[in-house]
Amino acid sequence: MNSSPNRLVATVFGAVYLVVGALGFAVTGGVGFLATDGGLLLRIFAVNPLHNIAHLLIGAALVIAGLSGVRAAKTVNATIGAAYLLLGVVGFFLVGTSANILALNVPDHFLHLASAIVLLGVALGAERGARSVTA
Amino acid sequence: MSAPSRAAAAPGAGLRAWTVPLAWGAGLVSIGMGAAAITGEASSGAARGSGVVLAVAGLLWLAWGAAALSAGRLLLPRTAAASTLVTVFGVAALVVLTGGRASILAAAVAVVLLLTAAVMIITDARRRVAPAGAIRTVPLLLAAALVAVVATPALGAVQDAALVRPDGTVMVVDPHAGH
Repeated sequence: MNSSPNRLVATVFGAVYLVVGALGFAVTGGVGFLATDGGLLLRIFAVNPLHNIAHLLIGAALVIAGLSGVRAAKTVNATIGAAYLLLGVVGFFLVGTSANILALNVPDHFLHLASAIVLLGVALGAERGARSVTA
Repeated sequence: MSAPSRAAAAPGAGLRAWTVPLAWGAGLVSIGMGAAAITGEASSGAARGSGVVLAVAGLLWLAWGAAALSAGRLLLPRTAAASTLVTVFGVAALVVLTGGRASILAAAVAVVLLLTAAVMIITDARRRVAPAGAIRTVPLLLAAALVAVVATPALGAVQDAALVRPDGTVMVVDPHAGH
């Protein structure tokens, strides 16, 4: 895994998202499952239970892919990166509306955009010889 | 970075690791500005039209960045460099056509990202040998953090601009409406 940027990024980002997802439940006691105003993780990132579950699923997918192989890591990095890129724009238009079911705030957007650029960049730009499963 | 991945990275890969995130950041802000012009309550027909054009330009920048990473080199460098200026004019036109209601912060961020990307594209194109190669991870991490830092407040300002009414007041959205 040390020689594969895709596997390394998927595993590290996955581990971070798993920790973030688990810690999120510590600040979402009493917060509605789809509440638009969530609890503050580390007093910065707004989360609600649905947001925590999304973090856990994304983290699990990244870790499993990172530990599996280069092709799986590239595929999951690209998929989650693209989803985060989309959320990076759409999310801003959801803040303050009842459609904000992930309780997104500005620090969340920062994290999502940075994650999107790294995951997509590594998936598309590194180890170009190893095609992703969907390619 | 590990030794094998460092060996696979060609000269120019570090520059490319910066150029593509900058282009993506500019693309995202352009899409956001375009979407705000399209959905804005105070937007005229011309403003909505320019919003569509800018949103499409933003999508093209995202696609160009993805294609460049896949190819291992910056594709169509002259066209891309010229397109940065075209997009800058698009941003300026949107600001004018919305009567200044578009976010100036977002416009400034988009212009800075586009012009920086243009300089990098031209620098890369002037290399006598432009070898294809894998992207470098550490510069990519740094570029991602920087672009996220500047694009996040810009996109937030875009959202605020979309809520401006024709009379200049800001529409207040109640997230609990209907509950």
